[in-house]
Amino acid sequence: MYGFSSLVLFGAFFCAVLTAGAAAFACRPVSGPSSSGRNQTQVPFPPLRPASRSFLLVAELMQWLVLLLLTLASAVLVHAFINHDFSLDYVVRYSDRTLPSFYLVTAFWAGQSGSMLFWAWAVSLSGAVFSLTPGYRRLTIETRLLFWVFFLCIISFFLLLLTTWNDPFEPWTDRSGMPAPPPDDGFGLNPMLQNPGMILHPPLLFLGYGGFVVPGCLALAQHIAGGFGSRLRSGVIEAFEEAAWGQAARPFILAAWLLLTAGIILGAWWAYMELGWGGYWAWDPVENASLIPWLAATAYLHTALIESRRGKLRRINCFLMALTTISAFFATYLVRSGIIQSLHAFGTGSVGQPLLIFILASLYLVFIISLASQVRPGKSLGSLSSREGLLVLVAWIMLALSLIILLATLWPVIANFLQSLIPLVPMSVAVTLNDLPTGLDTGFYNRVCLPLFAALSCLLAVCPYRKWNTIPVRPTLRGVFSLAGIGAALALPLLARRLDAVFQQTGQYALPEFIQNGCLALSAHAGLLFTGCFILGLFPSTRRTGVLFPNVFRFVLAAAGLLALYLYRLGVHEPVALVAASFSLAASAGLVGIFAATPRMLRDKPLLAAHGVHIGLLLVILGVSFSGPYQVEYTLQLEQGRAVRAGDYTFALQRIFQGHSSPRDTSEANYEYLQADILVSRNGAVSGLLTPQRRLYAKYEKQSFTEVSTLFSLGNEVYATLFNVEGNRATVLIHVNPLVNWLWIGGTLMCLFPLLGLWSSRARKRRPDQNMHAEPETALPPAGSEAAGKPC
Amino acid sequence: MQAQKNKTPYFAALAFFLAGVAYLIFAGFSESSMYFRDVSEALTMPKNELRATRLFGTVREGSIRLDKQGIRFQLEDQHDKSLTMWISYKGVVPDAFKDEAEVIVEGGFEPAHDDFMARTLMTKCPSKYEKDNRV
Repeated sequence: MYGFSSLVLFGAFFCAVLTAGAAAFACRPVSGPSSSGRNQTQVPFPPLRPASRSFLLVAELMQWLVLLLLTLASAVLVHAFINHDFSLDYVVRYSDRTLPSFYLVTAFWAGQSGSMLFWAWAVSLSGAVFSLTPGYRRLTIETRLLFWVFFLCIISFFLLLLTTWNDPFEPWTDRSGMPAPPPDDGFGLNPMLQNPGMILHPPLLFLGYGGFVVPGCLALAQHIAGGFGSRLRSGVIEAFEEAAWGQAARPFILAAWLLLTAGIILGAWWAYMELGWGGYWAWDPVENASLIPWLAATAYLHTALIESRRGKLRRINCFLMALTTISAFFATYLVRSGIIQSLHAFGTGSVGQPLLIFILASLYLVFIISLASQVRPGKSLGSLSSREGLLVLVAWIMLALSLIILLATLWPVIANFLQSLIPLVPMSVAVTLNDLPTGLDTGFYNRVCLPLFAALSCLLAVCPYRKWNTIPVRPTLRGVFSLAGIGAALALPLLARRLDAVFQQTGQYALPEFIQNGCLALSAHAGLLFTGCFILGLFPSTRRTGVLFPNVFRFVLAAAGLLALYLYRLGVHEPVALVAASFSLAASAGLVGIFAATPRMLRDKPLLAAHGVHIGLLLVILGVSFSGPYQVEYTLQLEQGRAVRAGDYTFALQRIFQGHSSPRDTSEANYEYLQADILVSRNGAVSGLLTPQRRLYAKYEKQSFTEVSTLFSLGNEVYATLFNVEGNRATVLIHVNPLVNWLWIGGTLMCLFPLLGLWSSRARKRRPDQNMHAEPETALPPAGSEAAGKPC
Repeated sequence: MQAQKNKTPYFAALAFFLAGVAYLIFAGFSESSMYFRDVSEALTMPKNELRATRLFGTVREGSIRLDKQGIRFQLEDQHDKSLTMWISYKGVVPDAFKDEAEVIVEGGFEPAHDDFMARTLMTKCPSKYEKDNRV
């Protein structure tokens, strides 16, 4: 039976390879006059073979066949899990007879080879769905054929992995590798993975990664094909311009982004609720791996806006989308290759090498296609302070973040490589290389990435109020003074803190308090002056500077300044947290204000979706900027009948008791638990009851697992982990996490609002942007003319 | 000419931006560096050179000692089990911590203690992609 399943995968592999080859053959240039009547010397993409339409039909049918075979193989694996067929190695490793049926189905993607099969299925499904969309039908045959060449090459590669290094249908073997009789029971699914968050997290990520394959392949295909086709209309052959790939694949881009976002947020929530260390993001390589494609995709979404509205940055957008797709492969490589020591135990690296070769080859191809593509260059960008310029800045920040995270994650590998060069380099260089640190702790990521996230919140306070193209304004004396005011407001507290830190380090001087206070007073004064300037409207006319909603804009800047001062007085002295929190709150209020000021804008669903996501992101930044640096941790020894005070809170242990999971409860495996009931009060008022547990699962008797308990609050959330129990005493780790729930609220908004954008994509297609069509270059040249074949 | 004019602010802004990012990276790098070592490497080094260090190894069977605040245990080298080092850790012990568990500790030697004082103790997480999580 399982030999048959392996054969099914082989069959799918051969179908994909042969079809990709046939489609590539159909795209091969032919000599002589073309069917479309275009002259070969004048067109960027040579005419097709007459049979290309038939080849396209075959490619589409074969793609459906590959999907069918992959679905069949997946169904066989799920069937094996449900029927406890322990003759399969994979089923033995990730399930047992006590596992509830819900987790039996989800164990499908619990291991390396199963998750790879799931990913291949997700990619194939997204391709099949794309072939049914109206956007696909509006593409030229050349683009469609090339799309299938790229797409089926990717599918073939994953099927190659599944049929060779990573076969999920390997039989159960003994230690010597010889086939062995099936064991009576399996090893079981790790209890920490038996959590709804962890069950949905991987498939969401895989569907997200898979969804980006369609736009990535389409971008490359259109950039080679040129974007122009020919059709017969009223007996005359005429050229037509196909829809831009970004529009044709828009639902896929949005859906993939949404799924990836949801996967990342769910993963963080799982880590917070299940691991019990009080945090949600440990900058582990596996977590970083999912963030890199998300950042690249987000950078693309912003530059794509410039293309769809202004017809610019076409080449960069193609590159960014292809980069997103490749970074999804890279995420898989990081998770499965074992090149980085991680908290997560990776695979032993059997698929690492082929994946790396595939990634490097794809990257090379993408560079060549993006650079050599003959797309017509758009106009140059508008001024840096226009919305175009600010969107480019957003993309820079996103790309810088992804590059920093990539290099920091790979730093141990890079450092090892550099140190391996020691024998080859001069002594002085060798000494430096020898002293290179071989790793970076989580503090590195926080120090480098959080300021960039804070900069994003600042941009969100400005960008929505800028017009697309502004007339550059000559700097006025007032403007220069105001800018100096902002600089002083931001720089002085930082300078004072830095000087104080330097003096404390050297131990020789202490910065006199009056200087510190003076700096603060000056900066507060400068901030207020600047805010006042805006409130009183002393800046040059907003009409000339290209400001939309000038009153809301003034409100946002004033609110940010005042909030920063207020938060500073409350004791928030971390500069990054201060900037991030004040601008996040002010920018969110501003975005709500825009819609409140002009309610008819609520009908513009894509705009509503975009700003909804922005508000979500701002709330995430608010949550992160506080819950990290202002988290408070207490390790408490609690005794029954004695209250312990920690900070503003009082903790009273009420009882410790043992229990076991209800046999009727089929949502989790059987376990016994030890629970401590702790009454929490704050300043005399009861806040609630904490019930942290330690659990012993039937299949994992040697280890106990923590089950954290939290007291939900939009302000300070109290989070308890039961550490140890001795008689009527319990050791409990308490974290007070300020504003952490705004992270989950913001994350949920980021996952929900793109649905509005998806819903409205059809409406948007019917209402193309006026600006785009106002440009004379987009007018279609007449058929047969010299320019007819020029790509868009 | 117009294109030329438009590009200059972008290049200037890019230069500023890259300089800012480079400063952040440099500052982060100098403050958050960590030296990854095996137990065998750490044993050959003077204790005062082992400050910000991340050690990989396995918990020696039967070596775990619990006290009120934390634990002590011996960390075995991944390749040579005869090489061990005492680790002290105060804080919450991860769920998967047990005899023969593969762990990662971060910390260093402090003048008043003979043990390697771990600030963080992490066990290998029950990842989805683990090849052999139970033997």
